[in-house]
Amino acid sequence: MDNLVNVEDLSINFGKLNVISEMNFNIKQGTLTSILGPSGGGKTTVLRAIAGLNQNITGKILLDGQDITHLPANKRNIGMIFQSYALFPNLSVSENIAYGLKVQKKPQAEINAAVNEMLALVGMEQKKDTYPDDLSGGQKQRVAIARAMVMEPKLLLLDEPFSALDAKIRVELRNQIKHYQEKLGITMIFVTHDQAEAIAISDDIIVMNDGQVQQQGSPMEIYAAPQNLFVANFIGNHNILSGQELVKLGLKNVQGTLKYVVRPELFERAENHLQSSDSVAITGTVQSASILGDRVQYLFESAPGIMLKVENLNHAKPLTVGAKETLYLHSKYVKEVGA
Amino acid sequence: MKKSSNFGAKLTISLISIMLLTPIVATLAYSLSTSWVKTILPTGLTFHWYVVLTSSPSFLPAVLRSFGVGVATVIVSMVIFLPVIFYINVYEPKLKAKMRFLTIIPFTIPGIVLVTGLVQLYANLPIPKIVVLILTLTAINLPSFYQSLNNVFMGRDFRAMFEQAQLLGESPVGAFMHVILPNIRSGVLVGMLLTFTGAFSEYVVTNIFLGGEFETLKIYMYRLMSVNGNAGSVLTIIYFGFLMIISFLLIKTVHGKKIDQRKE
Repeated sequence: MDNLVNVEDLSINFGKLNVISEMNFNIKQGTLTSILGPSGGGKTTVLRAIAGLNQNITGKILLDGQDITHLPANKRNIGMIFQSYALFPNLSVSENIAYGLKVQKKPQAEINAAVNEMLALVGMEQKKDTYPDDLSGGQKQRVAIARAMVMEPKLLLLDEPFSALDAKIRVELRNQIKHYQEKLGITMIFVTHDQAEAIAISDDIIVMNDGQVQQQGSPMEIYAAPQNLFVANFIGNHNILSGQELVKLGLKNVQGTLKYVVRPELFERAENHLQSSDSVAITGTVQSASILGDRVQYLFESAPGIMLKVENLNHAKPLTVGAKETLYLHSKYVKEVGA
Repeated sequence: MKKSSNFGAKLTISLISIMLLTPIVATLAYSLSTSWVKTILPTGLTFHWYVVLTSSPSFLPAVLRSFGVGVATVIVSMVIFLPVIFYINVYEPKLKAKMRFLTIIPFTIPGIVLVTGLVQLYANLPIPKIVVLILTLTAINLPSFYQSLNNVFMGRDFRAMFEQAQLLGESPVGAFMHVILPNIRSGVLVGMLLTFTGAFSEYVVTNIFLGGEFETLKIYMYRLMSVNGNAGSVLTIIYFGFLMIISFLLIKTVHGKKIDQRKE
């Protein structure tokens, strides 16, 4: 699959502050890529640079092979959806969606057909004459999505588009976004600080922090094999243990000075465990249990005094708080991470 | 208890209304009186003074001068301050504190000090005095213009709207004209009307700066009152009527804005 976007040595300074530092990444054509990271990590700054809303940059941005680094925003054919929706309050829903096509001076019949198609796609036909102030947050974001997609952009950027919405609408809309992306084949870059959201809808994830790419890969790669401590801490709820701690737990072939991650759902109970010379038995006491909906998270204090996070599906036989238990860990689940 | 406090409020409002309306009614009566010297009420009513005033060769030029000064001040305010207020609100909100300080200056410096300073500053420069006057009135009316516009920029993400319009293909100027301006219309209109009224009715700066060279409606009004009290009253009533129309337009505009906000 060809790259649609190539970002090469991108650096952005705000005054004396270096926000993005020689950043490199590629976005494949027809995929939904999430830029994931904590607030203040530079995600939106990168997105705005790609959109052409921040021209004070060094490095190179290529779109479909064309250098767009210094091309004005209105010449890039890139759409963007903002967290605040950015609908024009003086225009109705259909006028908002038609706005870009009118700027392009398309024939009225063509505009009407395209607007009606988008209204049907986002399920807003009944609200076509309504003004944005009379819409709910979810409806406003649907209109914003329709307005961006009707332009058939080469690339659609989404800047934390669901942050202002409640959890139920957020899940519904993110699934719809994925559906539109697959149906229309639009390449999308989705900025979020919500790792669950990124994992749920992305084909590819770029984890960012302090203006630098920490790791790029598929959701499974990012989750199962974090490359460094930041990614391990940010994605999932991994146990981060030193080699010395793992030796105390009975593991071999680990180096004391290195750090390792162990996913909390990979500890096995006796009844599920297949005896193997590569696994160790860890005895300890269950300190607490927290219901996380579909899962239960336990804090498990092992005999050497090392605290472990353990997760089971909610329907599995529960561990008893205060009871002594034995859990098993296979050495293949212990992954080394860089600093 | 409620009834008595209601009565008290009504009485207070009535007394204030009488206090405010009495001079206007008296001026109106005086402008229509044939003579009103040693009697409680005018001895007779006439439109003679209205005819005298409106047929005076000084009247229409004074109206046009005031109107011209008002319109020019509004245009200069729009050209200079509208983009600045937009930019500060959208891109540099940190500068708002400095802008607020600037808008206080016209209140803190007395007119006479302001004019003396400006005369000394521009005396040796080849800039027509009328231009300096317009710029001075623009600065003096900045507080009302700024506040009207500043308020309208609150509550919506104008930066995202401005940028969204550009992403949809508009140039920055097109985005401002087609997206920003229609959505700050009420604030712009209120700012324009307040600036116009302020410049139209300005007396101190204009009189000291240009004096007899440029007789505006307000200067003409004061001169006439010392010569002919009845004609002066006619001018006051006409002037008051004009300001009433402006105020009515303001109330309509602000009321419309409140309805918009309620919708949100």
